[in-house]
Amino acid sequence: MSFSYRFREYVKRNKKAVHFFGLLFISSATIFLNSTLGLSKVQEAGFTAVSNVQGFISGIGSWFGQTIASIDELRRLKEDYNQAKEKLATYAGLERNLVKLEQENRSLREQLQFAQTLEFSHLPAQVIGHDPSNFYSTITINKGYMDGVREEMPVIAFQNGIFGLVGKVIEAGWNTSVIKPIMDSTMFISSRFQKSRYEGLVVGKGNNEDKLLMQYVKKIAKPEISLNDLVVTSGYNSLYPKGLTIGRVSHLSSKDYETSLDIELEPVINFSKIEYVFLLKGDR
Amino acid sequence: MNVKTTAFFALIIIALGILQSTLGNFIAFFKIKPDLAMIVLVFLTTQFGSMSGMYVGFFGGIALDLLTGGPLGLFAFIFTTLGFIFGLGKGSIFFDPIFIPMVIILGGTVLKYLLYFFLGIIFSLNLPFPFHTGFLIEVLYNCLLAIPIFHLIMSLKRRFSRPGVGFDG
Repeated sequence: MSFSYRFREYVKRNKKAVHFFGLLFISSATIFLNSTLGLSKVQEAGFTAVSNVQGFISGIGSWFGQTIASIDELRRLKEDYNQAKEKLATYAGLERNLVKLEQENRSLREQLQFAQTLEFSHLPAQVIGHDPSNFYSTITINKGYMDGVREEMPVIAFQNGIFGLVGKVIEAGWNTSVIKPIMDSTMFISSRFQKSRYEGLVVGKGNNEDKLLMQYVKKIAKPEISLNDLVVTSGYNSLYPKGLTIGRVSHLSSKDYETSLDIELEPVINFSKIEYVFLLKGDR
Repeated sequence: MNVKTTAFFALIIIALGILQSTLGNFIAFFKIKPDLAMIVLVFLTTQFGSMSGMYVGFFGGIALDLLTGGPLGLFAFIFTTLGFIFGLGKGSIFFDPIFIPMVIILGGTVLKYLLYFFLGIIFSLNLPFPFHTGFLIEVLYNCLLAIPIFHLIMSLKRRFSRPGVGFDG
């Protein structure tokens, strides 16, 4: 019996095992090639296809949510309308003072030449999805390569009056992109305390932890650091521009045998409430 | 299970993965989402066998890899293995309405995490350590959802299961 005949008989008898190990071989080869040669183009093409469906479903979900919310809002609006009519009579007299104040404000702004709140050239984007697994906490947005997004772009968000660092772009598809947040354990951000100016390295604690760790801060800095002190990016050897807010000190301790402090930070951005982000283009 | 049905269930797994990424946060418990794709895959393979299960797992895993922040091929490997292993139990496992589905999904979740952990070591992938509080929450959440999803799969099986030419020899 020839080798090919025996081989075919063997495959026929062990069909399941052959198929199983074949698929495992393909998966392993993909993982290996991804981490060594990089299959970024293939992954980007596939990601673009799948994430467009993701954007569509996210839109449907938002529509249903908004429809349900609008019914309740209609009822509240009616109540508010009745109250507003009563107050209108009182406010009529204040209007003249308001117009005068607005004119004064405009003239002061022109004289001081206020800069724009956000000094960096930026690209706004909307969050359309999150990582489907619990192993990662990546965020998908609705802007991609065609909109000017590139890998390694820093990402920030605006919440409670502060622009805070969200993370960086790790994958730019055709019209969607993936962001790795600062809580990821593989994120390292060169940083410093805004008040005392001591430097350190902020590291994510992992995917489902809200806190960050700030490492390599010398012990002599301890008297000058308090709870709720702000930590910002230092801009040294970093893709992140200087001065972006990262978080506030939530825990501070030191061990006798260590030369640096144990500092835990609470990010200024609440990642469970992110809806819109800004990608920084690198020029001001 | 024939090729068309295998492809259909692969699309269901992919759709569940996309749903998890968009609406999953709304049903998250302490920021942990249930792994609906894994639950459905495990139940499908116990009903339809390893041959179909591993292909459904492979293509579903590839789609998940495109949506996650991890390397391409990681979830394909995990889901293919889950599809194969649990498919070996086709015809051998007696499913009661509550206990056995929960045990099966408990095993599936633990195996998923173990595979993720060991693949990270074998391929030096620098993956986040998976065994934290979130692991326990996901195990409990998946086990709770196993019961209604199991009953849904059984009703789907009655709809799609028929003798014929296909992957299962």
